[in-house]
Amino acid sequence: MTASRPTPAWLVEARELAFAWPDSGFRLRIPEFLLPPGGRAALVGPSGSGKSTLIHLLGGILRPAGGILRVDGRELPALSEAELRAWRSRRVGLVFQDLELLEFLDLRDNLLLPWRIGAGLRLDDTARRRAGELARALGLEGLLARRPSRLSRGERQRAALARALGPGPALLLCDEPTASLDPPAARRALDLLLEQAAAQGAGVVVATHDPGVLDRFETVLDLGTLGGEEAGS
Amino acid sequence: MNPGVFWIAWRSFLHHRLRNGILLACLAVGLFLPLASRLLVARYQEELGARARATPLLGGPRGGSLELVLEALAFRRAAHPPLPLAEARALEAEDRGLVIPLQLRNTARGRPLVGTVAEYFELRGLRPAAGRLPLRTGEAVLGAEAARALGLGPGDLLATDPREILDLARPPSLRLRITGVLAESGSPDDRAVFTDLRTIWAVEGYAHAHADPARVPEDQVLAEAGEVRELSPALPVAEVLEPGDLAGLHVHGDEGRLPLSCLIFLPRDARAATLVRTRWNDAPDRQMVEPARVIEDLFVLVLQVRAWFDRFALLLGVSTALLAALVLSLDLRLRQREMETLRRIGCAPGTVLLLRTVETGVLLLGAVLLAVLASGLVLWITPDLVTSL
Repeated sequence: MTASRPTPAWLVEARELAFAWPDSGFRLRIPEFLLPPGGRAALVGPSGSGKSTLIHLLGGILRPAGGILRVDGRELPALSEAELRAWRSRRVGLVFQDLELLEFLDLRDNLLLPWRIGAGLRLDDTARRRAGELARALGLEGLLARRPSRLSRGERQRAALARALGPGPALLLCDEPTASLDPPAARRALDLLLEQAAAQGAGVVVATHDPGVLDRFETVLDLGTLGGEEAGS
Repeated sequence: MNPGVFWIAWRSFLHHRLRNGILLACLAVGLFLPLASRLLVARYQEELGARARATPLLGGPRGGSLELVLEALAFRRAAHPPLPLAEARALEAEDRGLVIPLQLRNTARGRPLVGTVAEYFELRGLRPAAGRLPLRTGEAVLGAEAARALGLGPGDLLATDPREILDLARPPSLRLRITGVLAESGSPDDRAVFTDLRTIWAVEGYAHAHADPARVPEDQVLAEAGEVRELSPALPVAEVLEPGDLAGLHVHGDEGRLPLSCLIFLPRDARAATLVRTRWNDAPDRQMVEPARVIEDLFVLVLQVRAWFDRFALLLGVSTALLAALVLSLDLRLRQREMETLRRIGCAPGTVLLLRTVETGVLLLGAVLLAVLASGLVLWITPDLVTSL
């Protein structure tokens, strides 16, 4: 029998979080970053300030050098690689700057990709139904047989969002997902992202360069002033 | 392990089908060349070797021993002078073993026409699958494949091919009565037509029959005195000799000079073999060879050539493999981001590696399968290798 995990007070709890790239001299230090369940946070700062690095730390893709990092009730530094992968597959959705849909798969199979390869996930009727619902909700229903190269940028973006939301994550991590869009399109895309995350009950952390969208977030973390720095600077 | 990995690898393989198809074809060719050459040589060796071993000694006119052996074993056309029948008769008279003469230089509708004696069928283990073996002059039996190709069977007639259109001594054609079809033997005998020596000599114009004067039309008879009839020179020459015309077949002159291509000699014992072979090989105009040894010598040469071919094939294989490795490594670099995406989504590094391994494995396995299939196809479409020598 397994006891149900109590809902944590914070979806993301990072204190005195430190990270350094061994070869580049880059260091990141976050004194405190807190995000409640279902909360929305924006990461801002110039290029190279560590926005992507923090996204990767929160997703368990990178391991911190020190500090406390609890996400979704897990002490991430304490988890093994396999446990991190299994947790990430089920509880974290990732939207990348280049969206990174696989060209050799059609849209339907791109949406089902987490279930095909994710640790601890199984592709079954429920998963297919879930992918279908997301495709419908994001207006992708008629495009499921298309390859990513035959989709518009906006359609690919929605597809990447649907893929990230597929397994029902608690935390959606988005690394500059609207970087290549013009401002109105970027805002529409962000609205959709936040709207869908809210509908799924997922917390959202978005790395962005666009100061015009910051009012949509409850928390804004400026890495340019906080922690990202070159060693010796 | 998630079975979805294999599915994704397969989809990726199909998506890059042009590149993979080219790589697969290049690798398959690199494998096919040495594989097919080895299989073909092994088959040559097996087929020719088995037939050669079943032919203890072969006598013929002095000349190339390989040419003589290939003529007797595979009915390959040879250009050496004929062996007089007298040599075969003299050898027979010595009573040191069984003599099987062969006359091989004729064809019937493109098939080798083999003139021989009944013992040849015994030696080769040939038995009729339909009908019977030829008993009389003018009769012939067909090899299995010849019967199939010509669409003939017992009771049918088969016309021989004119060898030299300007040779007036030779009848234009002779129709042979088919008495039987031999069972499949998997040897050159399958594609040949067998008849007796007298029939062959009739085909060549050495033996002939006279028309029955009593059956000549009256207007062609110039004068008649008792049983003697003088016939008109305008009496037309039959263009086709029917089996019935062979009743009075005879030879003018010395029968001992009638031509043979060669003779198979089955010595009674080792002593007889040594004596006969030594004596024949001492003579200036004839030779007696051991076909198995001649074929062995041939294959020593063939294997030497193949060894060089193998070296070239290895070089080709290595260069193909290096090129394939280069293409795959460039592809790996191009798809690094794709692999990284899979890893970040939650795919284990081992699974990412497995994805690439499965794709490469499918490529290699496909190349091996294609090479094996192509080699099998080559063996299948060249069933009668011996005759193509």
